[in-house]
Amino acid sequence: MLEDIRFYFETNSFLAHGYCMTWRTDLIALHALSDFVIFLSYFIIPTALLYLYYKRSDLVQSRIILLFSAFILACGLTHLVGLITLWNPVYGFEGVVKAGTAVVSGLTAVASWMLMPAALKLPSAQTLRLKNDALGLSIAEQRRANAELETIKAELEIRIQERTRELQSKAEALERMNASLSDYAHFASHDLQEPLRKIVSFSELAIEQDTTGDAEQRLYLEKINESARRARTLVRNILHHAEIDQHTVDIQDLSLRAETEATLENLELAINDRQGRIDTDIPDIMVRADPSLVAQVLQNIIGNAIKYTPADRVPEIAITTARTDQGVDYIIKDNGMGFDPTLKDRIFQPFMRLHSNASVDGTGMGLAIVVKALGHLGWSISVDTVETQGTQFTISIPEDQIVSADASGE
Amino acid sequence: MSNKHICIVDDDLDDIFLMSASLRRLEAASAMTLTISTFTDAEDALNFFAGSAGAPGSLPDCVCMDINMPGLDGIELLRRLREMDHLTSLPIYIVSTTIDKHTHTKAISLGATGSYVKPESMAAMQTMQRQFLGIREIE
Repeated sequence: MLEDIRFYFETNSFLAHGYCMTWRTDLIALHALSDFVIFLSYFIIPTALLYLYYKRSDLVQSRIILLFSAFILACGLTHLVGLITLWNPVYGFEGVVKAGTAVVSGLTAVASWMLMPAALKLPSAQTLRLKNDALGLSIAEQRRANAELETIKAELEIRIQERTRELQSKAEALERMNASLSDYAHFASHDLQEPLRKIVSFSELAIEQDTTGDAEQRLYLEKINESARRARTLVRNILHHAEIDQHTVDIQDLSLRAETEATLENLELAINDRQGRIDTDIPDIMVRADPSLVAQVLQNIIGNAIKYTPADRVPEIAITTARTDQGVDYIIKDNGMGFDPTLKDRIFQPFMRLHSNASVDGTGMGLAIVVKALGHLGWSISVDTVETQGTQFTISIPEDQIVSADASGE
Repeated sequence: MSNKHICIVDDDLDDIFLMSASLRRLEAASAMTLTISTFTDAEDALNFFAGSAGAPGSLPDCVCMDINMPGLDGIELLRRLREMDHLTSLPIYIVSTTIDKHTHTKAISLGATGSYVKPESMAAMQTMQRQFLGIREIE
């Protein structure tokens, strides 16, 4: 085996290529020089390619460049060996080099055609430039659109601010108007009290000093007195109604039972007058609320219960409480004259009187005061009624205002 | 028969008339003689009390005064009167149209003996005046 290889590479039985050219100097020099220049070039070209490949991998991505380089280098080597064989007949070695070059050339030939489809698709520099220009344009376009959007956004923001300011000033104006209305009601009713007080007092004096014995004149004077008293009550109620808005809420821990007892004490005269019966069943419930608002609510609702019971009926009023999911309900039930249930919503409006009945001395302000006071308390009210049978008011106190609610009572 | 002197300071002539009428009725219903002196200007009242220093029988048994008056108002008059040494024990009552609680509290804190809202009927007026003069209610 080793012997075979040595035999293959032996050179003694060959003649150098120079012999073929009969050692003609000009011919040999041309061959030698050409082979050398080709070899040198075929060495420099792949070096340049490889240099480019490593320096600009973004530009020349394909490994085919390595194959091309190897191919050119191999061609260069065959020329170098060709140069040697002019003087030295290393034909065995030359054959091996040529075979290697053949393999590399073949591979390169196959690869070059295999790459053809992809290569054909490579954009030309002009296409790239066009595309680049188009891209530049679209970027500029995008930038303009963005700037436009920014302008619109800024405009919108300004508009929102303007609207907010407008709304704010409107709200402030409304608040001012409301306050001035409330002030107006307050001062008007306050100043109206004085002449009414005088009419009441002077008509009393006139009745007392009337010596004419004229029954008709006495009736007139009594009517004046009565009307002035009613007007005074009305004015005072309007004053109370207006004052609720100016009231500074003062939250305290209150016992519902104690507040109810205080109210009943205040109403004692009216209750005894009608020989009314009040049943209270209120467990020890503590709430956090404003005492004067609570007093106004209870005073008006319980007062109404007594007031709106027909003269021929003994007022029977039941005051109870009930625990609910939302808090505590405070319920006032009477056996009074009730009203048409379809008018339920209207009874809470100011000056709303359902009974034109002269026997009931109402101003139509009581429930309006209640509603306003409840609004400040954050409580709500509902009503159930059967005309001529009675009315039940349910006041709902929200859970977050309940300090303690002992359901068992004492 | 006792003799009582009551002084009224009020710019409202109607109210002076009503208070006087009520006092006359009290006088008729009880065994006492009443002297009523009235001032419609707080300045005049101030001058009167300033000049009455040291003269024992010249002071009224009680003063009732309004608050809202043009010029010197009741609160200021009260303050000035309480500054006078010879008036420290004089009962001064405020009888005003105002129902404002703060005004009444202020009057008490400045030394008013009592602070009332002007009564709404002759009966209520009589009850109030009985308290001023220390006359018991007739049963």
